[in-house]
Amino acid sequence: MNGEHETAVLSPQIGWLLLAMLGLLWVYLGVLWGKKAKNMEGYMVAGRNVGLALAAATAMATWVTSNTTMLAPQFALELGVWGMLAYSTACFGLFFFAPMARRIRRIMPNGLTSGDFIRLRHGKPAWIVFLIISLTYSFAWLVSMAMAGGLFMNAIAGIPFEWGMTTVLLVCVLYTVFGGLYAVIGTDFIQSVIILIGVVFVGAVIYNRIDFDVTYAVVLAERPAMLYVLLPAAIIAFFNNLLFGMGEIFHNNVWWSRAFAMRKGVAAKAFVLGGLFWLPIPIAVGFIALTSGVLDINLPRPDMLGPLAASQVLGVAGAVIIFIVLFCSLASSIDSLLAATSDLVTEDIYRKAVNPDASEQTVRKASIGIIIGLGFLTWLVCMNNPGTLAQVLFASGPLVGSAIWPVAAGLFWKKTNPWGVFAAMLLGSLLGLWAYSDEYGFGWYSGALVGSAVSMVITLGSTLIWPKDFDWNSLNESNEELKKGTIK
Amino acid sequence: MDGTEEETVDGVAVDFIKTNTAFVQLSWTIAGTEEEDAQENAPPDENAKPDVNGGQAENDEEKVEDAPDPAAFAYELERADNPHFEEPLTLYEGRDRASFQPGLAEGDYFYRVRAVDESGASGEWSRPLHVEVEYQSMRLAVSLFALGGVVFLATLVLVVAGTVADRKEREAEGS
Repeated sequence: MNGEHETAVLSPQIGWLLLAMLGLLWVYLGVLWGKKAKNMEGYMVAGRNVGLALAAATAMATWVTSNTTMLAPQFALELGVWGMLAYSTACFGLFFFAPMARRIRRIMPNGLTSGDFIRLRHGKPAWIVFLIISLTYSFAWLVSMAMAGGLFMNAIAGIPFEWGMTTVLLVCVLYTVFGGLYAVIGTDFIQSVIILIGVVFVGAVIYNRIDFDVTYAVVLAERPAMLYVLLPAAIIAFFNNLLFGMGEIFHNNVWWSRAFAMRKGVAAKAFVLGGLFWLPIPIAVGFIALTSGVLDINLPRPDMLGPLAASQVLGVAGAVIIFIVLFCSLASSIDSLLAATSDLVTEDIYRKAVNPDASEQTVRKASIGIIIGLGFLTWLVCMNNPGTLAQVLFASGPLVGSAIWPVAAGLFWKKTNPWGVFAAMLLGSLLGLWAYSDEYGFGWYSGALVGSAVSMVITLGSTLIWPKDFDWNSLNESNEELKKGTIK
Repeated sequence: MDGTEEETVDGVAVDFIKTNTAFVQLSWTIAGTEEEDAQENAPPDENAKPDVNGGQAENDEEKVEDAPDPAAFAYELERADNPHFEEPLTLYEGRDRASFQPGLAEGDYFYRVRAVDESGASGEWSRPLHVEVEYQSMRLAVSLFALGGVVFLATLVLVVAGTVADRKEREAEGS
């Protein structure tokens, strides 16, 4: 950051105080709940006994990332009313995943990661491509969230980007290391309650202060394209975002680990409820973008609108509320991603490829090391300020879009062709990246769409032409050594 | 963005970019500062640099020693539909050194910026930045929208049919 933004509502002292209080609270809860994790299965999938309330809350809180609170307004700014609606379509990912989660829970009762599924269902070549896709996306998501932490603290409290970003990462790494998935889901519940109350409050105040007729007139006069329903980029972005959200959820271990962690019979309801709770949030925060002309806010970057608008409308009290809400929304996603990505690396790479004979204790140590390493790598990339949140996150869109059909068809169809899936992910990713390119393709708002379309055609075509039978029982891989082990 | 080029419009030298999106990201600094050097490495279309000292420093050493602090100035950003800035619109006055401009309809826009010191004295206006907004074709947009709709519906069918089959399997297992 080069000091583009020079005005903040809160003083850095208040910002640091809030940061310290929230940070200490989450680390304390992480240590407390972490004591529940008696073995690796407890640490990785919370004992497979998470009930409906916690399950729905963790689905909603994890999906309300910095990307919802900070990227949804950016979508509306860049793509107008279509952009606002396009962002909200990400809830379809949760709705579609609901029945998938029930099936995952049934056919993989001992499963630990999404990588396990791809390896057992589609074989090693597809698994390698899948790991590259999943780790690339997870890392892009982590980077975008850590960046969001630095940005919002800079916007609201004038805390330098580097310090804000570093502190958010440090807090999340600490409580994830101590608590594993128990701590992640427990803190998610509290964070989801805070997020909902905060967003409803901020939304209600802005709704009361804004004159809709004036807002419409100002937008029409000064920013007409935001109301243009035939804006080509926005029309392209609509299904692109829907498919991006679907790809994110279908493939990522953040969601699979939750499916594995939920009590039998809970998963489908929890994901539907999580989606319903999430749905109004991007519309509410996206609407703020339409009001930004009336609020007379200068935006140094489009992804800073949310915190700047709330601070402008609500003053110091509002800035404190939005600070807490944003911190919670960031923490609830960073912790999930750290835990789930670490599980993926530990289970799929360390245990399967590097050290298959590792003891329970060694695996736990490796898992902690991977969480810390991921946090450090994320910090390193963020220090070099790689772009806006949208640029960072949507670069992975083509990759996750190409995973939709390989995952869904693999889960529901007995005859899905593994080599077809391999080609679908590979070519879907490559052609999607081409489409994503501003220079050679159509732009960032088309990558996931093209990636998923190519992948669908190849998965469908290869399965119709070369169907290959699969024995579902081979998915039920035993993890007895993990279940029985006790952490020393 | 197709990259920044230099051109002359109505006898005025301007920087030029063309975009197919409805927004433009502007940022600026004082000529002759370390920050300017850093921003030169950024995509050129994102920079509009006011020159409050009236000229570029001659070498890097001089730049650092004599560099004014960009944070010590306020800035004024204007937009017009012509390079001579007849009837300009003031978009921003304040200490930020960047501005995101959304909601641009198709057409030509000219931006310029200048620094204002604490006494209220203004520097010279920067060289104008000419932004031409020309959206992508509607045919392409509708084609990709339709493609997205097909993928969405096909995925819906896959998941619904799979869920029905899964329920039958569960019922069969139960009985």
